Amino acid sequence: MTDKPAGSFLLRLPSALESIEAGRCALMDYLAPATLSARMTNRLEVVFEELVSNIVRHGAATEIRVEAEMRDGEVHLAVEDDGPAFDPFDRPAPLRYTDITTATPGGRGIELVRKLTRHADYARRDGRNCVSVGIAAA
Amino acid sequence: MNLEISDVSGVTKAAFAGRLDTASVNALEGRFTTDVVPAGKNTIVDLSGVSFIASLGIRMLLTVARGLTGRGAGLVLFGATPEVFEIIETTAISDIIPVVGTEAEAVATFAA
Repeated sequence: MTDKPAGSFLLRLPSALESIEAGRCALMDYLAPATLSARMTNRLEVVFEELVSNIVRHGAATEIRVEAEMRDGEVHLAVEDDGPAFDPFDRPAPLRYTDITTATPGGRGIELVRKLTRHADYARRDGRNCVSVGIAAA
Repeated sequence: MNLEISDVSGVTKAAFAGRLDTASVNALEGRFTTDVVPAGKNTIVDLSGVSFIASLGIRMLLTVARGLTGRGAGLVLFGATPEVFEIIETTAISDIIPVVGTEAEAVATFAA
């Protein structure tokens, strides 16, 4: 039988490279009782990696706040940072690759977030960038 | 994450083991690129030991593939787990870099 994780998850991390793995491990520990499939676990980890890595590498933030909760058959994940205003979804989807010689490396992280989640939203609240996503739990 | 470079039937084989996450790509991308691209040989990448890949890992593979193409060589990926393959397919890098099941199939790609 699948259990729901107890309560919700809240973690504050410095915006630093080592926070990506530390946050991932903490989030997976919280979700362990849910015994998510390997596929869903991987989708969650990829989305988490993309959102937090973007902040660490580009966001000029000092702090990252991660919240998570399982409800309505989804893992709801919210990632906030205190960097300058930036909507990662405010850009067109990259063009599909057509030829190796003209393919531009990079810029596919947010595309992954869009495609691996049921919904992905951005808001600017109280001076913070807030990204919230829903990932199917089954 | 570990990276081993070897020669298999005249092609370069790069075998990754572990998670190709941000930290690992930062640590290995330089070595992977300099050990593979300048030689300009056909290269197969063993993903069977890779438990995780995200966009930075995809970018690294594409960068090396482009470098090899510029030298008249190619890159083939093989052995991806279903989870890793989903990310490869979702980014559609498989549209321009061949992805096959086994090492033998990867080597055979260059013999064709």
